[in-house]
Amino acid sequence: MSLFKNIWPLCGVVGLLIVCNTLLAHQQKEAYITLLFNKNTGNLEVSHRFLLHDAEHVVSALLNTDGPLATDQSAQQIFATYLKSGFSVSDSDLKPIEFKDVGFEVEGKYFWVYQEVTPPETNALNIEHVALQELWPTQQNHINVEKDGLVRSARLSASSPRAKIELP
Amino acid sequence: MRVLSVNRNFSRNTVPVIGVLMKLITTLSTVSLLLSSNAFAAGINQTKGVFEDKFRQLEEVLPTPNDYRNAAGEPGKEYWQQQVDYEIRAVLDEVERHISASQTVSYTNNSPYALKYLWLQLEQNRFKPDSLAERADAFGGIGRRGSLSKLPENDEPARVSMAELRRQQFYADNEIGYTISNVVDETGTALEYIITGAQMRIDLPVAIQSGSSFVYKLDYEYNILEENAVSARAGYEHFPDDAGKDSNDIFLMAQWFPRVAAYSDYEAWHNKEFLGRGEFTLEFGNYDVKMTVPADHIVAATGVLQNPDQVLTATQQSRLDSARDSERPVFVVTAEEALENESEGTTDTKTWHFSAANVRDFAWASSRKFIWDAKGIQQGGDIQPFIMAMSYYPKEGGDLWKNYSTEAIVHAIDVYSRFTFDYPYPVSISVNGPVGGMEYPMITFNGPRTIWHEDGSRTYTLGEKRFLIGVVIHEVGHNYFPMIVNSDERQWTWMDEGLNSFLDGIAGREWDPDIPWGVEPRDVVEYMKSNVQVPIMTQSDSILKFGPNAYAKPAAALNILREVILGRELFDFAFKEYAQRWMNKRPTPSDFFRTIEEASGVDLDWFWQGWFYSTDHVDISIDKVYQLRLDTLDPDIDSARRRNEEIDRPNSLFVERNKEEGRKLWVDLNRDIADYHDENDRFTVTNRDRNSYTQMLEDLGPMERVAFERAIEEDKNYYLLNFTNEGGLVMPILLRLTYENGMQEDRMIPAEIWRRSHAQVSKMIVTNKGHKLESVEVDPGWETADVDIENNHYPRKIILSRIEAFKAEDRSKTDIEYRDLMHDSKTELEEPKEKIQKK
Ligand SMILES: [Zn+2]
Repeated sequence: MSLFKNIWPLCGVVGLLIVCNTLLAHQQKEAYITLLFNKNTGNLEVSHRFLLHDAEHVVSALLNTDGPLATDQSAQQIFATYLKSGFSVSDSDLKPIEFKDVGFEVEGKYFWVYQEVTPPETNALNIEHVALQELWPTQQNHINVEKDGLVRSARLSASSPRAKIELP
Repeated sequence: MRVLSVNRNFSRNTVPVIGVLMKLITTLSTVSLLLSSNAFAAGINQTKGVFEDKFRQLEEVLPTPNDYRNAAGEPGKEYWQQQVDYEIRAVLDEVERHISASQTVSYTNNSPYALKYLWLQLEQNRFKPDSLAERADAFGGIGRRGSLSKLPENDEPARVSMAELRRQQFYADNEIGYTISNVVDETGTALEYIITGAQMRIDLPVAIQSGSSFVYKLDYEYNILEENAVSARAGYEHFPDDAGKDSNDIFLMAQWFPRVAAYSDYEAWHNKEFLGRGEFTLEFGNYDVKMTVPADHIVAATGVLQNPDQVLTATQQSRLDSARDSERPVFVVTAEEALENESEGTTDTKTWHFSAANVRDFAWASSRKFIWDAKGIQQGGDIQPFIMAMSYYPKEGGDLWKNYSTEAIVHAIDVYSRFTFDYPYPVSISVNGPVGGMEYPMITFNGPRTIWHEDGSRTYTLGEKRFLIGVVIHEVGHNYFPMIVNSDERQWTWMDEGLNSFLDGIAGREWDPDIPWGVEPRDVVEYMKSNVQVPIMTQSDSILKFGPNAYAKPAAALNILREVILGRELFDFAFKEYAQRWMNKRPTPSDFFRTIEEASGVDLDWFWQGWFYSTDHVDISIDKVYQLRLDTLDPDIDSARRRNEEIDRPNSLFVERNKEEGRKLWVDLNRDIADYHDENDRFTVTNRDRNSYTQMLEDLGPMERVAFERAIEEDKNYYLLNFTNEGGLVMPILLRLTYENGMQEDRMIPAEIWRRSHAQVSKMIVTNKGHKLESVEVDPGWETADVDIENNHYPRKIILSRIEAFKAEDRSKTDIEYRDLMHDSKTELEEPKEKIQKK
């Protein structure tokens, strides 16, 4: 089948699945990412909100670092870098938007990663977010784009990891 | 006269006060789109104007009450449910990973109807290539659990993941699904049957009459699925690297026998085929199960072990005995003994015998890798005075499991029982294997493990510790919902997951309030504000956003119902009433809605409508605050006030500049012809005014005079607050009033304020003299999942975005700007280290 000629280039997925149990009757795997057109600053701000527990699995299974994420700053750095590498945005002409790092932090059960940019003139954003999807095939990365008080959303999963969001 | 009639009731809109707009600062003009999408208006259409009845009674939507389930949400006087008793004899072939078994099933028809056939659920067939689930699996769709594919897009080819490949290869290499044979009645006479996908229908020679029973037998076998390849909520996990011996497996056995489908008063046969997500709906019954397994295996199962003398050593039995009243868990099989087991192996077998009374399912686990600990719970009461909490886990679970699994079981039972009923089973078990988290009566499968290091040690992170405790509490909690309160998981996931997530949040926070467990209203804000939602009341297999919709949103809604709307006393009484009414029975959503409303004595139809039947969100805006002052009507006082207000207004720029230029006014230059009007302003009081005032006082009736004089004496502050419902979901308005004197006061306006005008309302509030309002905040404690905080403040406040706040606080501990770049840049380049495969 032609299908099989194009295997998803994910490294070590088979091995990973042995390490990581899929979650069944417990909470579902999801993260929330907000892209906010901030009127006060003029910036496009991105906040990635992941569960600390999920982030920990990535750090240990995918990135081969076992630091306790809640306190170990270098493990946090590794996760933040991993997370950002799976996230990309382009404008309506498919020109990539390069974000500036703002930082990251642990707050309660969440791990947050922040980025920002002076947004280009565009009437749409093409967003891709594949973080954690190679680890948990059911991972949903929920995107909210907030501009002028309106929220436009997309749920990105391994089977549809990108979406185009029209701006108001 | 006008003043009198109004003075009787200050709260009416027609207050006799002359509105003086002290503060009329409008910063935002709010436009709300009034979408007239009333899901309840089937047949009833508001075709004029924008009125929307957010308080329309649910009676029109809920099923008509009857003798099986009544209008109070209780089991009705004719309530019935079927009973299905199972006797199963099974043999586990460890090498072939194969189960062969026979079952004798006794079906008791308690319904008022005769049944000509029985429907069975064959969940193992759901994994066959010709099952409805496999055939209905959309390529590139949302997916089941565990594997995925992606459609071609632009110039990119279609893709399948390694996980999907692995699943398909597993299917190709293994025969999947049940082989069923020898389907006979009690006398051994063959029965007609048909297998269709993951269901089976047995046709009966004679219909089972109401009140009578029927016994059938069948043999079945199947190849056990590899859980990590297929993701089936059960199956085997292979450990290729165990020392000494080739390898070992953990077997988690669930959905492991043909089960009779439920037959109910509201749906008759629940023969909706398993698609992989909407879980199970089953009948209660008694189980007698014997499983033959390798002699060195330890078996954990639903029910009570009937033959300990044959399968346990004397030492193990005496350890179990000492666990009954031990302070901490006691090892029945120690880590050292388990390690010895897993490195040896045997070809001998043993048969374990369990029985369980009045349960809706039966599951078990078997492995020679199991460490086993136990601790007794003295619950007291009549239902089940003693419970044994037990955990079974391999060395991979390690200290994480040793420390917390059994203790988390004990804690879960303690908290859940307080909110529902006494735990009714003799055991409660947590097993570590390849399943992340899954529940069965008396037994749960839980996934978290330790991390293996090259030096052979095992550690676990804080996150994994919290996760283990959280998942054990959650899965043990499922004993209450849906194992005992037997809701239909296939139709309504929220009835077990939502209620259970709500309670596991309570139990988690009672374990350690510093651990951020549970679903706080603020956790669902991002989901609630998004434009990709379906109502909670959506059938399980059709839900698009399963996690937030079936777990987080209902849990947050119940949190709000308890903490904000009903208060703990009313809520806890009603919730317990629901649990106890439906203990060991089968409730539907309407039974839940009706019971909570009926037992709390509060009309909650608006709440169910908003949170469960709609996709509205909460966003209440405070738009304006007007200050009003009660006039004394005494012209000498009121006119002076008017004059002062006039003086307080800014002067005309024209007048000011003329003054600066030293321009003299004509009237000042010509004082000689000034008249009365030049000497007295328009606020001047005349005796005519004074006479009219005294006459008004004279005309007051005695009651009116008292009220009027008291109001003048008290000189309270009157404020008119304007609110807009931007999100559509009607909710109580939680107010925090901050006064100029620094004091604060919280007030709650009930949701019913929106009943005649769902989009905009005004509310007058009255405060004592001296309590002058400085600012107003809506939902200051973030208790209602209000999605926009900025419009919760009057006067408006600039709310920093998350990123602005992060920068402003200089949370440098995690700021990458503070990396020691000068030091890091001296680091030599290295070859990547070889990755150690984890065991
Ligand atoms: Zn659950």
